[in-house]
Amino acid sequence: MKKIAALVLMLVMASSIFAGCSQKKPTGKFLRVAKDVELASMDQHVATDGLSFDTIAGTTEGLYSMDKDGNLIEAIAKSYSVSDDNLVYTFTLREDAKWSNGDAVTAKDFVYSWRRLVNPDTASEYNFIADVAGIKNAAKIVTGEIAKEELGVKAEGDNTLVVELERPTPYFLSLTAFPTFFPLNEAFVEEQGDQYALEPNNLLANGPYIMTEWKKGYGFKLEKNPDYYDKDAVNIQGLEFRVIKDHQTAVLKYENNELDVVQLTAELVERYKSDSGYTQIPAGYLWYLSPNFDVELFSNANARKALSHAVNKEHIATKILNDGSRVADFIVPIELATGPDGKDFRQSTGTYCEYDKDKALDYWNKAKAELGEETYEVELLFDDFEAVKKIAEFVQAELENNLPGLTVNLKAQPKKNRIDLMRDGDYDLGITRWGPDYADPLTYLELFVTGGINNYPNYSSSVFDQLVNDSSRGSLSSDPNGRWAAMIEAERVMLEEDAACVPLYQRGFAFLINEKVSGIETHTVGVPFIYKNVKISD
Amino acid sequence: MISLATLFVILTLLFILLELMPGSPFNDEKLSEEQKELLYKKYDLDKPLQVRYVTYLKNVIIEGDFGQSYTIQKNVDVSKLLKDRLPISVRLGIQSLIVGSIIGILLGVIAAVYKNSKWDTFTTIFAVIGVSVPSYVFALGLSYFLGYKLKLFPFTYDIYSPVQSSILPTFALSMFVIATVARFMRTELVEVLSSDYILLAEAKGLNTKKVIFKHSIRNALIPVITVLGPLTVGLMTGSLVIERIFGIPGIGDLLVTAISVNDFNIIIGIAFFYSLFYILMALIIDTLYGVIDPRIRVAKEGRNG
Repeated sequence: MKKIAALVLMLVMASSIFAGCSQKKPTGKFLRVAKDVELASMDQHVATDGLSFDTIAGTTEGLYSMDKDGNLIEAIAKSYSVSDDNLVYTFTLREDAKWSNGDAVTAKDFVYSWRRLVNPDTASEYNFIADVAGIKNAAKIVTGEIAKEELGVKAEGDNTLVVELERPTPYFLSLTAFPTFFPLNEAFVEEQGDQYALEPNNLLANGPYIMTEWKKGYGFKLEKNPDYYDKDAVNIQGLEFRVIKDHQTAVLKYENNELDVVQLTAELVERYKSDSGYTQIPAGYLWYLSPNFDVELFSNANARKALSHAVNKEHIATKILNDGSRVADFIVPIELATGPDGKDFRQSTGTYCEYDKDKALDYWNKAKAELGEETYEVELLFDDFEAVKKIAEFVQAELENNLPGLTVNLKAQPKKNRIDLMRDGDYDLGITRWGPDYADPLTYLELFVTGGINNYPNYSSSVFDQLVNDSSRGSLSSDPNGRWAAMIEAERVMLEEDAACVPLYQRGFAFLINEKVSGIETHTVGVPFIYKNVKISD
Repeated sequence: MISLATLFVILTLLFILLELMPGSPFNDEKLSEEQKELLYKKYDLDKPLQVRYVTYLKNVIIEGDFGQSYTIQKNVDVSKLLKDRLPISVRLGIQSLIVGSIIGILLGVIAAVYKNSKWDTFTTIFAVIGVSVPSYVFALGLSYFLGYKLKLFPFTYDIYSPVQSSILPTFALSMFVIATVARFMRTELVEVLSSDYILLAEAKGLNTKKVIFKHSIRNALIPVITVLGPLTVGLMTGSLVIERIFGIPGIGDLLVTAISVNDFNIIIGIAFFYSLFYILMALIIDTLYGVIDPRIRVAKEGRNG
């Protein structure tokens, strides 16, 4: 008996000796970041998620980049000029930018990259963005009608890049800060073949950091790039990313000073709200309720308006989510796009569909009179995630309480299935979301154009369509002020007159960030996190 | 032979079942039909099911190629992903199984020998808790108290010090093994100790130590070995959560992610290896029976001969 006890004791002691002498790696000034997803890809034409874009943008620069307020700043481009009809952009590139293999970054690298993007063989999930940018022939090349060499981009010498557009695209410049449009060194990429971007040594960098380690599923490391043209502006030795899927564990590591940046879930926010490192970061994702216009009840405008005033969104944002999410009485998010007047889109517009029980009831009674029934039953479709489920249950309660006679049944589905059902119009009412692809209100407004693939409500309004088309491809596309006014009007028509959907909230993220760390720049669109200017004080 | 057939059936079933999953492995929210077509073409997903199935089987059997990851680690070979991650999970599983069995057997023996003493009560309570409390609760408890509060062990996995950083997950995982093995060991040993041949051994004047270690434990081990099979499966499913909590880059964690994003090739690959382990474990257990219990060995030889 005693022997066994002694043995156990010995084991415990031995293992604690092990634990005691665990060697600490030299940390220097590394920013240590926890992520709950893995780095999906370092190939800018394969990547689709925020972390991949963050990391690609950490190692590579495009023509332009964004500062902390979302304004464009020069990167590889020194300057640009644009023709009077806004159709030809000529970029002058800086001469001192280098790839990490010593090659200079030239205009040809952009041509190669952009052609690779639209090449149907690449099958990039973001290839549509070339047409969104308005680059000549992009759409036809993607569908395989013409060769990729026909793309409206060419290199004149090493340092001049000429881009031809099909139509004036007011947000074209801002797209050049998006990783998809970053340059690629043709010789290197071709040499790597299908191994390109799979390991750190299959990669090149021309930006602030260079990837030195990538342990799949565990984490990766970026270190300061000694060949970066602006290396004096880089203050830290590098970044260490660690994949930790359990937020609770990540937070404990933060408290133990093993991490500098961790994300919080709603439950954790409650506990760490008063922590000095607590930081809220706005995101571009906008969640909304989508009524199906082909269902009899929602074909009635008053019924939809009743819906749009019946939900207490404040409760969702502050009680259920509690992570910096904001009430959305609009479809174009805050801090998405800046107008010709230099003001955020939201500052020039009104808000629609505020929570107002009495208004909702008025509309509801009108709707009931017009439709001639007393009771209605609808099904609310949503993703089977815990957070979404809580919102769905709350929406159900709100609708049933505020709109007497309405019964709401809940239907949870896996997200992929939910999207299929909504695209097929096989639902009554659904909770869905959209994340912006570029910094312009159109990235949201175009969703609701007649026949659009993501027009879940199946909304169709000739007035709205006209306004959106004018401001994207039509008469107003080279008139910034007129275009801005048209988009403001389009949003109003859609939400106030037609109640085409019911915006609920704009997502926010809650983080704990070490107080010593400053200079992490966040954006609601494009590259979510830019780490170039990070500083860590002693 | 039967094992191989089982594996083949599992592979086939998985392939067909995944075909029925809603949605594609790609970003359904954003993609248009034309883009999906391009992607399907790129990954040969546009070919009919039977063609893909034959190609897949051929690749798996001849080249050990399980295809590529669609979402999690885009365009990386699944076999490469597994090569990095499998050893970590397997090591963790084996560690837990060994630690769990040894401690479990010890506790069971103590409980049986000192039947109805406070040691017995302690073991029983421990066994009940171990069986009924899910392993992730232990995981959270261990990482919070031993890792975070007392700072005895690192509470997340560290590839640079794989030994000490796997101590906590090993204990969290082995809790269920300890409890189950201890319970079985106790019950069986109590029965063996009260049987006639033990009485005979004692009557012959053998000392207690010899009776217990030479004559009793060996006989009592058979049911314990039997439960090791299901326990291995328990370890696999347990590790799904444990790997998340301790940030271990193993296959359990990968499987969970793969299922939620429809990364088909990864799901099939991992499920295949899980089945393989289970079958291997069954094989090992069958062999162990013979080693431990001569009667089984003799019976088999008698039949074959």
